[in-house]
Amino acid sequence: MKPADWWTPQAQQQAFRAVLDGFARPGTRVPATPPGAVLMFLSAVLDESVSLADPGGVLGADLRRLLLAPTAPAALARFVLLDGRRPPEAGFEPALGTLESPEGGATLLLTVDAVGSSRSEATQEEDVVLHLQGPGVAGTRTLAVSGLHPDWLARRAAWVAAYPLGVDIVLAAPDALVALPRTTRIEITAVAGEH
Amino acid sequence: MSTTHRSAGYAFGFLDDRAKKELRRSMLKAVCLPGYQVPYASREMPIARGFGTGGLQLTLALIGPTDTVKVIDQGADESVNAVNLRQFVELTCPGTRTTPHAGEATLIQTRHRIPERPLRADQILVLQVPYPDPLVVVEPSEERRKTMHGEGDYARLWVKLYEDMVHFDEITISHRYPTRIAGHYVIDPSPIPRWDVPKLHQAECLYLFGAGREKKIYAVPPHTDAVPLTFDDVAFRVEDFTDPATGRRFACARCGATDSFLDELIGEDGRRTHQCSDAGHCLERLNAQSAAQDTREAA
Repeated sequence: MKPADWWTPQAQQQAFRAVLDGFARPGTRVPATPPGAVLMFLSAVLDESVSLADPGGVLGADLRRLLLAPTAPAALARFVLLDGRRPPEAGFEPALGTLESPEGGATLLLTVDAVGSSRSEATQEEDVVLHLQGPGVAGTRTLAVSGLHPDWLARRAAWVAAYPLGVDIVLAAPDALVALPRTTRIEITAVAGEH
Repeated sequence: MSTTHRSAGYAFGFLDDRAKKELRRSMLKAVCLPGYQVPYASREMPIARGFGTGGLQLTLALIGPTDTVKVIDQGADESVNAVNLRQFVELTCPGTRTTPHAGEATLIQTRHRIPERPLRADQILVLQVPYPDPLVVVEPSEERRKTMHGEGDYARLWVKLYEDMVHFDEITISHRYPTRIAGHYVIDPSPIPRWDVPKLHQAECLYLFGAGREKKIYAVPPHTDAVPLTFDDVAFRVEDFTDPATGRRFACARCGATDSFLDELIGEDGRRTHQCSDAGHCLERLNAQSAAQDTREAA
């Protein structure tokens, strides 16, 4: 698929179906074609009516314009794009929604190096292996992620502690994404590498 | 950006891109919050409110040219509402196929039934919903209902069910049976019979619910607990098709099935017969029987 194709309704429909399947089955790898999972996800769901925060400038000005979404501060935006390799800013608190309107909780899109169902698929030395349970998971599902700073998982645990409030997370590697809705229970079993 | 106009004069899927994207964002949040009614800006459709506009909008936001669609109305593919909705999909989504066979469909839009054949992981069932909120019977204020849902406070619904028990010795709800999803939100599963409620529990497929008039979308993801509200000492029961005269179960008059949800029909002579409610399922059984018959005759 050429990059330009992400801007056609049919490509966005196909992308959305793959993403929806990924949300319905947390931790499963949703393959993304070039130019990658970040754009595949955002082009399928964004338009002028929802806000996007990209405080680190992950997208670049041209793509940012094409996505049409107005910019909002990271604490208020419905979609927040951040570099998952770096720890979350100390004061960063995303929107968690309210008891009456929990859908106001943000969707965090974190860029990582690789996602896979086993360690061999995530080849970097700094990887975490996650064991997932909850809606959409039959029993337990294993997910290996490389290039995700472990502080994200600790902060997420706090953000999703008061269900139905919370954030829904998408981990975006260059070639695939995985979804971690707020309902997913995560147990971290291995953190390799140097910290 | 130019839109390709087709023979019907509409863009693919009838809805404009902004409508589809809003539906898509709402669907993702619905999956992240199993059973929670996500509000959305339900669009005007060229069919009347109450005839499946919520389900149709979901279908149109999901559908692509490679999909195969089945439309069910009370189990039947050939009733007026199902035929109209299916023709609308055919008109506005060129390239898509339609089918009466649940096994062939990638997308199934349904009113009041879940197919008998267990659905697979690569299928999505879209249910048309007239009344999305099970708390409406005990609380008229939507604001209060939203708080009750958020807190998982269903005490007044339990009282209502208990009153039923006191009057009738069992909970008398025949359809729209309140069902708790993933241990938190209670949903109105749309007017499906009790028979279909267990199919929501730990399923392989994704269930999406669309209420067009009430402007709500909700979901039951695959592998998710869906538990009908019942008291510990009175078990949840599905419809009983035992013939009181013989003590045996009624069978479908067409295909002979003794394990499907049956509709009772009264003929002109006043005789009662039963038929599978799921017409597609019944047809498949009949086809399989006639194929087996042909094989036997050829042998």
